[in-house]
Amino acid sequence: MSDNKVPDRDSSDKPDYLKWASFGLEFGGVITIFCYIGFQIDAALNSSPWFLLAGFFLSFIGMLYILYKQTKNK
Amino acid sequence: MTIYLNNFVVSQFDPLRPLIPVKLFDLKFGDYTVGVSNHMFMIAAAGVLLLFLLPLATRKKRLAPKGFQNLIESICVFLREEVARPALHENTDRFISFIWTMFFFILTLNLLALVPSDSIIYLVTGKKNHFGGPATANIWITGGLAITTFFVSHIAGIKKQGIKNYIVNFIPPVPWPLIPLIFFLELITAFVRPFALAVRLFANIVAGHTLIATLVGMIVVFKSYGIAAASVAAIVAMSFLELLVAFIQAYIFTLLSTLFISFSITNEH
Repeated sequence: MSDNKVPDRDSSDKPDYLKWASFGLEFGGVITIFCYIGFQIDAALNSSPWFLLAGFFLSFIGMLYILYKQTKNK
Repeated sequence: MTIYLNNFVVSQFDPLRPLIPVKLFDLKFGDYTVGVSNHMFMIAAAGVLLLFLLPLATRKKRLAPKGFQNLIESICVFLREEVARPALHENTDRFISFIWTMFFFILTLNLLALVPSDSIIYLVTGKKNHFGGPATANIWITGGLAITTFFVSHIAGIKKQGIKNYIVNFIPPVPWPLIPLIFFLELITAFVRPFALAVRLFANIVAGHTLIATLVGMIVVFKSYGIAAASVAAIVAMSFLELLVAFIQAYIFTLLSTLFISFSITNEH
């Protein structure tokens, strides 16, 4: 009997850096959409630039927080 | 005067013209009439070509494949072992047919875009036509492909985890006051992903073809043998680069589609 184990082809020891391949565009895209929503609210309420700024900071900090949580869970 | 003339020539020679869809003919389905554009024609041509060529590759089953069979098998094995399996693990075989289909379809569209089929038909028949063009330089087509990935990934996630678990696992574990904001952010991210996928493929193909058309335009604008020689050399170099881009963009689209499916079916958070 051989002690050699058949390698499990479904388990991978490759680094999972590829999962971050699209994060940059997602980050930028989410900030753009939040800024656009803020811009439209500003236009409706005549409150420029406060909702746009709020949209930017909410999305920026929120996405950083998601990034932190995802990297911490690994 | 020279500047005026050059501007006139440039305005006549629009580098974006080869990218714009042109209506070829109408297809009638009962009371409905569907206009078929050159991009739709190229999609159909890619489909027919793949339906004809890929079975050819698997016609003779050999232990040591060679020739065209070897090429196709090498690509398939690479996509399965290097792209799909590290992300999907035991779910690889469930999604590999989708991944292979996406890759070969986008690659065929990208490669067909490099064949000047309309010019070849013009040379043979002497009739001006539009039976050619880069279908992946059409945002609606890349968008359609990205939406397919969107639905496949989310439906696969819901089937795997169940709708309740899928929604619960949609966001990472965060303190409860943050849940609405993070859920909204993740929801927007889910819609940004296919958008980024579509724009990435569209922008790369548009950029390459516009650059080649601009280099052709330089010959018309400057009317100089020196610049014509340089332009032709640059067009040949760019065409080789476009060949590389055709493979790279098909690979990146497939890779990201695989990742999005893996995000949905595995509990990322």
